[in-house]
Amino acid sequence: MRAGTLIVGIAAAALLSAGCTAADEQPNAEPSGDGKAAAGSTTLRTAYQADIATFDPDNGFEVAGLGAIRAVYEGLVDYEPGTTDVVGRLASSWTVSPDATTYTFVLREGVTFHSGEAMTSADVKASFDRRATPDLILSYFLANVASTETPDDKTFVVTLKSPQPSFLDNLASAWGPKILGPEALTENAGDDGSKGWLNEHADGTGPFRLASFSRGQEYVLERFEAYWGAAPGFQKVSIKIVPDIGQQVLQLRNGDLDAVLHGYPFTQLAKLPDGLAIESYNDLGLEMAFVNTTRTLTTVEQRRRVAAALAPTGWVQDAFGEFAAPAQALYPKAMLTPETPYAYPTQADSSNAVPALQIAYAAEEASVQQRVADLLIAQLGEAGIEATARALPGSDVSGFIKNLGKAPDIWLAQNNPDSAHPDSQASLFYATGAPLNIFGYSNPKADGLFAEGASATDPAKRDRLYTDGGRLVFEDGAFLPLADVADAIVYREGLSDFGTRPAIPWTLDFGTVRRG
Amino acid sequence: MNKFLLMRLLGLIVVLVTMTAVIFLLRQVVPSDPARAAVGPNAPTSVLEAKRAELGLDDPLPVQYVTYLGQLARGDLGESVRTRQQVRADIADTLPASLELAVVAMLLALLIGPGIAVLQSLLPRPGPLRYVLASATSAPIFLTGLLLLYLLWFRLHLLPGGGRSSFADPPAGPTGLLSVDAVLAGRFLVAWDAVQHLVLPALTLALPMAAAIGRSLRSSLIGVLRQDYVRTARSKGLPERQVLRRHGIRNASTGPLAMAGLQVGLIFANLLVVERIFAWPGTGAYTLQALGADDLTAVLGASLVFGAIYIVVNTLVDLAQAWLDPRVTLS
Repeated sequence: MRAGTLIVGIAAAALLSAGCTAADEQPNAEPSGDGKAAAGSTTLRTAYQADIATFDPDNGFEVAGLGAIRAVYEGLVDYEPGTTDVVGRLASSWTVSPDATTYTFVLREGVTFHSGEAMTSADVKASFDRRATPDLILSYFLANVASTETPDDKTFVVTLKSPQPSFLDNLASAWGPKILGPEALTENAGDDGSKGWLNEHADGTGPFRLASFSRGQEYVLERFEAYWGAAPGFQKVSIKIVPDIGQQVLQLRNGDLDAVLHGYPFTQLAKLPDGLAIESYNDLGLEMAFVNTTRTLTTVEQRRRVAAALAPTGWVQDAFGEFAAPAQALYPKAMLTPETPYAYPTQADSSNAVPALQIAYAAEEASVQQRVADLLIAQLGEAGIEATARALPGSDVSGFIKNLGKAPDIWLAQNNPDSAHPDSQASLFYATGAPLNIFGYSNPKADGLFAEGASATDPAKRDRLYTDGGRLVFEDGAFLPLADVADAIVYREGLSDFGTRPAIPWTLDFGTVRRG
Repeated sequence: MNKFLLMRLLGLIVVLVTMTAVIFLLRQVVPSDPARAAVGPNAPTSVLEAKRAELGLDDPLPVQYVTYLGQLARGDLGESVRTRQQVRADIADTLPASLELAVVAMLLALLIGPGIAVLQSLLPRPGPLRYVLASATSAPIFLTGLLLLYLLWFRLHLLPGGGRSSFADPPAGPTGLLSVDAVLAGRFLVAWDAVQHLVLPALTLALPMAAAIGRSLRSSLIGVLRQDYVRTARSKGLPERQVLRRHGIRNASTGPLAMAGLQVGLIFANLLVVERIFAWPGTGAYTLQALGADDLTAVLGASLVFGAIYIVVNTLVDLAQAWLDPRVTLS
């Protein structure tokens, strides 16, 4: 028998056998191609553009994956959907001592871990102790914690080193401390404090359990039947890794996905095909221009001239359509609304010569920032200022401060602070030495106002202090707030109850979303 | 032969060590901070400095490099700052997917390429085919991939659009090549599904290589088909197809085979683009995410593995050339 005939024969036999086994095997896919949510489907299908780097809630800072991690793990408190109000989650109530250093949490009854154990205060303490371990990336959330105690099974007491009005926001943060179960902290502790195990496994209390973690391919969450709260609307959540947003859009239109959570091109939002809808919400990502005050724009007069040209009222709608509004302060509007919005200069002395400017942005954000940059170049051109723009790897930002002479003049970005408290914005961007004070700007007077705001317990006074501190750096031209941009989830009609929260970016709440 | 293989092995080591040096030096030119990449943009300075010390970034560059070489000698490719796992384990997880895709792409190219050359030889007017081939080779690979995806998946629903399998629980071993593992497990539907998922990304990778092989083989064939022994074969009444098969292709294969070996490097380079477009969970996609996350350790590890594979494949090509053409000697 010739080799070719033999090969064809084997292939035919294999195909015939495939037909025989079809009854035992069915693929996952539920494409309908008509843009409507597949009726009766109990699986929510969505996608991330990047891997979940780690499923360890104490050791991952990435935004992608937050929705999945929060569906599996819960903290003592959370933000109420649609607001920045802190409400109880695994804590049913709490009290704060008069000196604002001791927080006493009463734990919720009837909470069970996915491993089957009932949650007690000892588990909460173990989780907090783990979070505070210095070699974990998110340990800084508990840097001000002096001690924790468990007077009984249902009471958990945290004592701070000093008053920290933002403490509850820290706990409610998307990256705040979560409560881990004994399967994680005890049975699989290993030699590395559970770091290895928690990368790809989980033991939480959330409405879903982590059923499978196939890095680079798919993550599957399954409903936790013993969840203490309202049962989720879906039996399963399937999150595929689809790096290309164009592919995600096509998969959504083809019926292979139920929702695109983030990154749907703004230019296509105005004309969605039938069967698709938008859920938009303001998150804490503020579109900002960071100004390098040491290279070209070295005088306040030059920076005021540039600020006058960049005033957002002239171009924000062109860039974002109905999904953005001109920013009112150096804080996202979901975080703080100033009594008096910041006013961009309306007239600037054109005799202040401004050499050609370099604008840059992260290549990862090019789909948004390129358009913004083009509009800003046009605005600057009308003001007689030449400018060019280019994309750089986002990771280059951390190196600007090492060589300010070679860094761009203006960096465009949308960043997410850790929480909805204004301190997380000021201490992240504007304060001297802040992690994302990328051009090393320093304003001691503003620093003083931020420090005073951090210890203020009256929200009105707090907001005033942060607003005033931000106004100083804005008027100095070092940071320019451009737009409050709404995030947009594009989904196949038939979904509801998204549970979005301003402080939790790029995701809906898998525990509350349902069909109908 | 033994001396040839030994020289190749030594050459492999030299090339890989040189690669590490080049990437290490290039890394110093890039402005980003690997410690910041590891802890994220929001982490305070105390966390950043602790991570910098943990990664040994405060050590002098030669010390960092020698430490890394020492790890490499023990087979340790380091820890990925992105996945928090050993790079060796990450690559072991992802490499089979890339190899499966690359091997199928090469097989497709080796089928399509000679087919193109033979077709050009048989067609009375090969001009239009040459224009089509020129288009296939000049189109950027991401465009080819997107077009194939749009037409064959999104519009015509003939093939799946991305990923490796439509099944929730495909077999995970023993080879890591899903189509093979599914057959070994007796799950032929899963195997067929895996093959369907392979078609579009493999075709995207194969087309430029096939066009290059086809062009090269066609040029070689033109010279070979003018030889006296070919004229003799024709004058004895041998059909043109048999002339091509018995006398033409084998004698004309040396050059195209060398071309194929060089194209292997291009396939691995294109893996980064193709795996992203088709959501293929291979080492290319892993490397691309590592680049975006400034994860130098992972980038280095993947580069070394791809570099080693490229040298091994070219060694095999040299051996094949020597087998095909007795005039070629290994030295």
